[in-house]
Amino acid sequence: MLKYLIALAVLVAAAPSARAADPAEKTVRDAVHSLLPLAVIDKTVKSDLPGFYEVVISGQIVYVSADGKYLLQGSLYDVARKQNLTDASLAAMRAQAIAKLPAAKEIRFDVANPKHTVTVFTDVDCPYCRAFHKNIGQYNALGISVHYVMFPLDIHPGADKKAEAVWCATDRNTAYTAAMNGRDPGNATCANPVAETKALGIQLGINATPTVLAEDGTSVDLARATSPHGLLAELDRLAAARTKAASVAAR
Amino acid sequence: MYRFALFVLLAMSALSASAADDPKAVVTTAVHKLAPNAKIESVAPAPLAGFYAVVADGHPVYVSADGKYLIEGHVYDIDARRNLMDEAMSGVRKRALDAIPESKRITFSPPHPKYHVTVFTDPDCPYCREFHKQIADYNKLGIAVDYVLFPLSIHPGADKVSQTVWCSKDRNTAFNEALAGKTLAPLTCPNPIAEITATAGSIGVNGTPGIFADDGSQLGGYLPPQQLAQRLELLEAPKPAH
Repeated sequence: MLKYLIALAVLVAAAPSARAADPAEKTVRDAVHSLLPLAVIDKTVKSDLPGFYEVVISGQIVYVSADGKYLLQGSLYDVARKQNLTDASLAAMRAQAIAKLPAAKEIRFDVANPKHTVTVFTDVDCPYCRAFHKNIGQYNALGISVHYVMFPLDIHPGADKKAEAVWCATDRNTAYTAAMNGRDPGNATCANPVAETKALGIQLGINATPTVLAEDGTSVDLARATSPHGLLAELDRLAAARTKAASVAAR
Repeated sequence: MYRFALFVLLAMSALSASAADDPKAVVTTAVHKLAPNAKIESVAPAPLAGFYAVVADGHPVYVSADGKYLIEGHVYDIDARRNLMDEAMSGVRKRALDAIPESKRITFSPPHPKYHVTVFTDPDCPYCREFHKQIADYNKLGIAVDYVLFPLSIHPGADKVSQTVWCSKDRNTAFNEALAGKTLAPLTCPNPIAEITATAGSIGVNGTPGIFADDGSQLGGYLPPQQLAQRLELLEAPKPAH
């Protein structure tokens, strides 16, 4: 996170002319700060909506008019394509981030030649995370690789310590499964990525566990995927929608 | 309504080739593309240039005049610190409030009221009780209070108490007693509670007390008498041009 901030600061310092080339961007940032003085702006880019900028604030997307007068918060739809552009931007941002997450910062339950890979932000003390993990054998049997990212919630005191203890076990996968079955993981400590993955989750606007992301960054609606077969069907459906969208875009 | 709108659309396209350029028709078509069954309640030019404010199925959305983009959520005027999307709902709320006749309200009014509010209330909600404890003060400040009974499902039994109040011979006295925490012998009779609950849902009342002015603007949440009077006074003051 710190490294990221420094890199950003360097970029900004090194490219003053690029920034000056688009004065609207400063107007937009100033407008956001006049409304939300403490907002940390991750990104500003021109939106598909003419005359507006897309602004990412701690994983939340808002739109600000280039003149700095209006701020839109919610969902922006492309009517002709029947697409929620806000969700699409959020998914793209998440896809990029999870693609960059190395195996060394996840606990992976992989299969050979997976049909699908999901990235799951998880908390050892969250009941739905435990319920989700009960079926890990079946997800794998159906060709779904599952990559867990530790995201202990503040509402579960001590969950961060448990996440660390799982991480520091000799066999992380076994320790994770045991912890999800309610076994106390102990209190081992070691160098671990929990604080970093938690910060990443917050930056990606993740606010609940389990959050299950498909490869394209789309958040899987678990109400539509209540069983392993349901999850497979939902991932198939998302992949098909993606292929269709890509072919429409190519035309 | 939907059929009527569709008829108008068809009629217009028959009359002239440029009918498709009518922004209201373009905007309506755009909403129906995303939500084919949505009932469009109003379409009006929005304060945000190039957009129309649309209320569909009780929810406000903004649609670009060219029909290409739809925004669901909030639209803030940054300098004025105003939520424009919320203001788009005022007209819809006004019509919904106007449609509740006096015979479905419980009124506490001073002799010559200066202001009038409609309050969605639940006999078991603590802030509704706090509000009603001071009913004489609201009245003294010239505020006539029309209660409509909106028992929340999170308060089990509040619907029965509401019905008992409604079915009492003297509703105002029964309301006083219920809100003071007195247990009343249960009564049943035909009552408007289900209808009020539906109205509340259609205009997005999600808590009690829900306090509305006659123009449809939401004033609160619980507000003490002086503050409510101030809000009402502000509402009557001429608005700055924008």
